[in-house]
Amino acid sequence: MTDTSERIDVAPVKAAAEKFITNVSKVIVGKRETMEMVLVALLCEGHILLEDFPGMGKTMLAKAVAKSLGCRFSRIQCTPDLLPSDVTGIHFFNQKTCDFEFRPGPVNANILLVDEINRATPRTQSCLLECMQEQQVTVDLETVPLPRPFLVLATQNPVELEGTFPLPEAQLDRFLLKLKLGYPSADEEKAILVRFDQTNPLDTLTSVIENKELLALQTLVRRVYIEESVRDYAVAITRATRQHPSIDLGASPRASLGLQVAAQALAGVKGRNFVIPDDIKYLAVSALAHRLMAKREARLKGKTVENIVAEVVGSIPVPVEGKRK
Amino acid sequence: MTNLFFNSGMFLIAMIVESAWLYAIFEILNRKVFSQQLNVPMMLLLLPLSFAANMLVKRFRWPQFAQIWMGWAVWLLVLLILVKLQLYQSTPWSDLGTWLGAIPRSSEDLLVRFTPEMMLLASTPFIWWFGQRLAYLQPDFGSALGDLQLGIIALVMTFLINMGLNVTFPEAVPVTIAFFGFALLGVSLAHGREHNGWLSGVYRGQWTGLLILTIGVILGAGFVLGALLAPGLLDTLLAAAGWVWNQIVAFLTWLATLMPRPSPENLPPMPGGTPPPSTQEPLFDLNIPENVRNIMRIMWTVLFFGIFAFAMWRIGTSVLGWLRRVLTEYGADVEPMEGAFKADFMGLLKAFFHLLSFKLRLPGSGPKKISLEAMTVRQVYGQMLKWGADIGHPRGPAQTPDEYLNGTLNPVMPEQEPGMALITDYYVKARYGSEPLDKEDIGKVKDIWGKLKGYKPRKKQEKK
Repeated sequence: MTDTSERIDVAPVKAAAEKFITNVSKVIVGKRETMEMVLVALLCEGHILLEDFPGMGKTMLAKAVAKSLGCRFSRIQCTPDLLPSDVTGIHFFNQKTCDFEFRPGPVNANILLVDEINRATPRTQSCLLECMQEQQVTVDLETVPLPRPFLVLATQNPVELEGTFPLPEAQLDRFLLKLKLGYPSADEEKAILVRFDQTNPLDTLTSVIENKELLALQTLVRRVYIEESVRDYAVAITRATRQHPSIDLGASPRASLGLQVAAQALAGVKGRNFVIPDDIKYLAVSALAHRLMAKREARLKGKTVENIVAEVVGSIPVPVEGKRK
Repeated sequence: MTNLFFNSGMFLIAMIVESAWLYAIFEILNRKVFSQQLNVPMMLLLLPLSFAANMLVKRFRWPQFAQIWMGWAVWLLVLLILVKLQLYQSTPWSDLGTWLGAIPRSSEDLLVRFTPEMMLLASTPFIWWFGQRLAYLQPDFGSALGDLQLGIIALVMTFLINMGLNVTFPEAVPVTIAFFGFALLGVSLAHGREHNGWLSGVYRGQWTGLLILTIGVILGAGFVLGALLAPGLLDTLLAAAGWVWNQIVAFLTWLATLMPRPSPENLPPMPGGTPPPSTQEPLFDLNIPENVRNIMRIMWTVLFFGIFAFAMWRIGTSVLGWLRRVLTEYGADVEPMEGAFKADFMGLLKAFFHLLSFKLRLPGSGPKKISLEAMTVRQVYGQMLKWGADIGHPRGPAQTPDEYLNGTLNPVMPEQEPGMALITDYYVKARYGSEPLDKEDIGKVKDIWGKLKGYKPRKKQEKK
């Protein structure tokens, strides 16, 4: 529980956020909110699912984020024939030493870009479950801890569904946030053309946040104060998703926890050392929608899970001074 | 309830409240020193006169010092007329030298005796000043509570002194009833309008401090003056305290007699030997152990006091409810008992239990620390919400403070945006933050709210 008496200075978080966003903005045009959200996930050690149409800059964003952090980065391009051992690593027989040695897979990194995750088979997708939740990998009964920080940046394409395997609920629940980039505006699109005219700015991108610094910031944002009624408000929203008539599967307690830590990180990014209901509201769709399963009737009526979460948020009273009668 | 109606009512109440204790002071002095030569009710007419005169002077829009001096010039004129009407009734108005020179003449005797003229000269500035104060005062919860507390001090002191002076003052009861009745009515009216409480809200710190000061002043000054004026007064007070204590003991003894008697084997031996046992068969065999008996005694006492308190509460609620209904018919917004005092009382109880649980270190019952400053800002924001609702822009239940500011208030009152934003900003810090606000912040919030609460947005002209 957050100690109410402690006063923390979140200026380093805000400063790091500014550095990070400025750096990523050298590659990505616009999308400040998305960058902020990526940083929020980084500060919570949460994983991100980027879903959007092809060519929207998902992979570019993931790469820019990875390069902005002085961390070990690796990438997995998911295809149906990708095996779990291609992700986790293998034990191979070293003829020189006449012994089995462990060769770590790409998962052994700080930032793991899992491109087009829904193209991998469920078996390969599932091998990421342990990595994402427990930050360790088990190969042939041997458990190896993953380096910290560990962040999975997965991308998926919502339109090309042929030859894809929808992510199971258990997998989806392990992503802290699901983000969409959306189409750029006309000005932004023009700026993209200019920026990528002759060179790729990604090549010259340098890291602005070091590994140790990121770990320190992660510890700091966990100490951001969250008042009791704001905590209740977050719980009320999560619980309301379980009782909504259009929802088959509501948000889990892991979702409540994710919403809380994400709100703490967002408050830190905004330069506040306390969480306000606006933080919860702002994050609700990104943190909850992908964990819900809408009923068939609701889907047929054109209701999306995002709409339902927005509806839920609009129905929960915000903790503000009450009327005295 | 319009501002004019509210303000007029509050001014009238304040005048009655001040008149009540001023009457007690001057009338006792009049009876003791001047053998009722002075007409105190006529003197008190100076209060509304001063109020009216100063209100009139205020309208001239002169500099404030000029307004105040003009007000005092009117006082001088009124004083002279009062001397003529009270002390020189038989003297013709044309005999200016006699009644106009009365005060300078009597000042020569000041060292020998205290004349009625001097009494008028000394007392009327007070009355005039109170009227002037009212004319420049913003009637609100603070002023209503101030009048009540000042009046309590003045009345208690007056009655304490009167005990030493031995002046018969049969109007004491009606004066006291009028004072408390109107003073509490003023407090209720202001409370209903502003949602400020005795132990919560903007004035909490000031008034809790003042309350303690009031009690201190009454006790301290009362004893000092009592000892100086009438040494027997202390004995009287101690005798009164002893009488009250005896009554409590007698009452508790009476309660004990209502309980079944203890069993004979538990009784101490009687000096004259044990009386022979009664041959009559008891109706019920009440052989209750002594510890159970003690518990039952306590329960009985608690039950009795509970019923008594409940009855008093119901009577109080009914009286205030009736008053409220009557005043509501005239459009007044009188706070109900539940809001005005119950909330404060419950707040006090909660604070007490929190303090108790903290002292006892009960697990999981730690006090929720809300600083006075944070409470003040929250109270001001609560008033801003009520104000917003009153002008037709209530906050939606799912709106956060920032959404309410930017989505509802700012579009209709863009000119008030800085003030509303400042209050909202401090409220967000006070409500959701962990760091204390300082007194400067509170001062800013109060200033802004003072300016904002009187503002009414202009209605948009309907498109033809």
